[in-house]
Amino acid sequence: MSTQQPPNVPRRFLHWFCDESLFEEIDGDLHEAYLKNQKTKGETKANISYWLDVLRFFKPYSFEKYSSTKQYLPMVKNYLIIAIRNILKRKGFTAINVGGLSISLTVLILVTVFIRYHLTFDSHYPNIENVYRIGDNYRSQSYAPFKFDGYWDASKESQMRLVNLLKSYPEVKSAAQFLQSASEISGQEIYYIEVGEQRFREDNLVFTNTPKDFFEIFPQKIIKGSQASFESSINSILLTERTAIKLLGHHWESEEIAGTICKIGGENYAIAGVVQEPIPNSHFGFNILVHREIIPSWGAYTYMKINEEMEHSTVLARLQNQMDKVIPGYSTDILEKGPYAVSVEDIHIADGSLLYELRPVISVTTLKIFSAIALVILLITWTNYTNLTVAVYTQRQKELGVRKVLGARSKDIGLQMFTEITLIACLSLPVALAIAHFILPSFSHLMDIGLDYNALFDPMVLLIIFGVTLLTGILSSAYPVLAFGSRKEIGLIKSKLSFKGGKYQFGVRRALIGLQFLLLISLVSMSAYTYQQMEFVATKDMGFDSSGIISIPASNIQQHQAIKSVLLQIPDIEAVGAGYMPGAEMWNQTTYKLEGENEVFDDAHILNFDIGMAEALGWDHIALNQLRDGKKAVRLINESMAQRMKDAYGYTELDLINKRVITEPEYVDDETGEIGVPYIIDGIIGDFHFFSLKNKVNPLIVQIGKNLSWTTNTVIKLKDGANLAVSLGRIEDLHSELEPELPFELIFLDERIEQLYKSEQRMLTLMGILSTTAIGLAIMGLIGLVSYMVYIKRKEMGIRKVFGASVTQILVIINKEFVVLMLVASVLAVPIIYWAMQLWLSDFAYRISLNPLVIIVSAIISLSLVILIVSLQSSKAATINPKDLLSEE
Amino acid sequence: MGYLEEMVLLLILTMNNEAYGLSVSEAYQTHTGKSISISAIHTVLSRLEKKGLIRSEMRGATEERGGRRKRIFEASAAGRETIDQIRLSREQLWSRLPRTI
Repeated sequence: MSTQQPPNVPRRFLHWFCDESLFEEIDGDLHEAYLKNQKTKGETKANISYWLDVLRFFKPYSFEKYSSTKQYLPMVKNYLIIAIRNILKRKGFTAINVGGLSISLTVLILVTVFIRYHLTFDSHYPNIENVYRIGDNYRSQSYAPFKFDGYWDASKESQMRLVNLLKSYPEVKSAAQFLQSASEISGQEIYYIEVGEQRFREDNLVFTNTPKDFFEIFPQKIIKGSQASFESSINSILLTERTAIKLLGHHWESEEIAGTICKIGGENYAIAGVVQEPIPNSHFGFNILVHREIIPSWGAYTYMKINEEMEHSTVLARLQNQMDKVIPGYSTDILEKGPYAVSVEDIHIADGSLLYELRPVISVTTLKIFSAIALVILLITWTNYTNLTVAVYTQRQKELGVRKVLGARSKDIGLQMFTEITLIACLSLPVALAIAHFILPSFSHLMDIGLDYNALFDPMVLLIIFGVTLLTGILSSAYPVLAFGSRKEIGLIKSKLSFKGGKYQFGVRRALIGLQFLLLISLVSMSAYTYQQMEFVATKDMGFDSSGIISIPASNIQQHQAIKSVLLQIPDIEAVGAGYMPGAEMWNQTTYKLEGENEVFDDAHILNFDIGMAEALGWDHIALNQLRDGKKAVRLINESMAQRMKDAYGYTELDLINKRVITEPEYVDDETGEIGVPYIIDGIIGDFHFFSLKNKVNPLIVQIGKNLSWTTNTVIKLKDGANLAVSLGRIEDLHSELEPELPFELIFLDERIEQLYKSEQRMLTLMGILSTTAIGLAIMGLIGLVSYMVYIKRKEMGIRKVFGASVTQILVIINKEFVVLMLVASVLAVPIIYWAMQLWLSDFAYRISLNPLVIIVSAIISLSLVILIVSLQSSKAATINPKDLLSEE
Repeated sequence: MGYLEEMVLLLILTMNNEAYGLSVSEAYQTHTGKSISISAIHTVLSRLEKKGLIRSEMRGATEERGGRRKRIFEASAAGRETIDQIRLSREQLWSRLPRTI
């Protein structure tokens, strides 16, 4: 009978899990048993029992080193003690590491908290996944609010139609609507609140005519008074805690406040109670919640909560068919593109395409950019930490060698290193949390978000941070464990401080340096591009002069005329007008076509100005003279529209003058048979940027009248060099005299335009902080790494010197290696930079072209930095007597 | 000391320099008629050694083991003493039993 070997697979498995010191005897025993079994029971059974025996050995006994003495202390405790000793012994090293790690962990904590803040918008409302907001698609725009039948003139019954229809569906649990005064739809209107003799300004009221369902969908915590009385009585209000303090003083809690009368805009309201301050990360918010029979606007934000396991699409389909019940004639109106539903969970993280959104949204791209930067910072931290650790262990090779001689296995050395490295990483965790705790308020203020300390102790955030810390330990110890753990005792003891690891280890270090360099170039050039783009936006000609232009509210056109006539007598005032104030998104999109042509476009806006406003904006157009000669109104189209017509039909600008643009050609007047609303083109004006440069200039029709028939504001242009304080004081006095019921509010046009980029500015500030941190860390890492590599090579320098090399030659040789590495890294960086920048720039309609010079310059700067560090470090070694270098042992 | 440990210790004493994992498990089987896996015997052996009742040495590579050595166990002085004490206390108990059988 042949003596066959036991099956290979289980044996290799045994070898893999079994400790070295045990393997021989177990392997031998099993081998022997196998041969016996083979003789007595046959090969198949022998194989089976071999398998079973191997599997039975798969238990803790086999993983541990064979020991004939008692082992009461687990090794982990020993690792910890040694680790603590080492940490205390190398205080400088520990401090540098803990410092670096804490900085990047702090940044990581803040970014995590920031992203989590945005991701958890509205998640505190119960069952928010079942709540949808119903909006309207009109023309090619999607409106966040839903209009009422008859707009401003809607009766209280017709305002309730949509909500009532929704509630009649079996899928819908509750439906509510409200209007937030701090929003574009309400023109950010400010109200006067009168309590007793005192008058307060209040900028954020939420009006609802469906209080019961409002609370079912968006519950609020009542801390005083009763929700029931708010729901049941019309013209009652709920205050938030902060508003209660503002209106009623600090002792409101001890006072009987229910039933106290407040006057809002001249009407009486009774306080029903006080609610807890609403959580800041919600897509809407309020200081005062008002129960009113009629919502004071042309539409409202309408929500429905559907029953679980129901689909919102079925509700939408029903609604689509019954819209005529809400707005008669809806189904036959070709401009109406039907209602849509958006999950409340999706409102905050969006592309910002909904008109009249309540609060600024954040795009997925922005969140991705922040995550990417945080990841880069982590990457740099890991590389830095690995490098520093490797450097230290190289100096500790003797210690490792002695450990091995005394019987430590690779595994023991590896675990020892892992414990030390992870412990240092864990030390920086509380430091980072403390720093984060300290700077969170300023961070929250800077980003204009309502973060409080609780955000730090969110379990999810803590879990991520702790996981990252642990991962730092694992990743940063992986390389030293591989490099030192497997080396032979003799190699560790003999090679003092020289890195004989061969190509493998040197290759890894090169890769790490290359990676650091790549990140450095990318960060520097991306920061430069971002700065260029923002500079470009800030200095681009908007097409009008915004300096010295202010706007104040007006109740109506008569009041406007009254104040205008007085204002014009003030010598410092150049012009007074009324109409659209640049810096707000233009809402009135319209369809249009050119007279005599068939194609209908849908992307134009119509703006209304009076001549005073045109003068205030510094426009001078021949057509304006027609107004001065007595014509009632002139119509101008902008270059974009002219260009559109030229592209479509080949008309020159001259051809277009006196032609008609027909807006809303879908409508035909029943009596006259006239199609749409025609505008005769009196002239063509240049494109101007009335809104953010993120948006393209669309075709525009500007109607400039001698006087307007309505207005909500008065626009004033101050003369250059006017005394601002005096003029503004006079304007305010005049306003409070002529408009006692309307809160005075000044809007400076240039500030308003700056506001458009405020969120960009904020993001930029954050990005600036993050990239500065990342660049700082990358430079630190490069310095450490380069110094260390030069240190290792100093003997080589000594030898070269002995053979007659000059200091310059040595520097060139040492630098050459780095330069090649840097060039490779720069080339690799180019596509990364281009890709990332294109992604970010795609948000802007007007953007810079990416100048390759920026990358070249950042590469040269980074390269010079490295050459400087290398030369500084190596010149030390290159200039001293080679004897000293070589005799070092 | 458990029953299994006592049995294994006794077996080692009887086996005289030929006690190693596989041979002990075979001896156990022939003596008690119950089968036991090699891995269970290994665990018992290492436990006995940690208690200081037996000691071991690696030697005796043979062809049938594929050239691998075995860990040969022998009882230590403490081991012998323990087994003697067990026997003594058992015999004392036995002696108190009324001789009815």
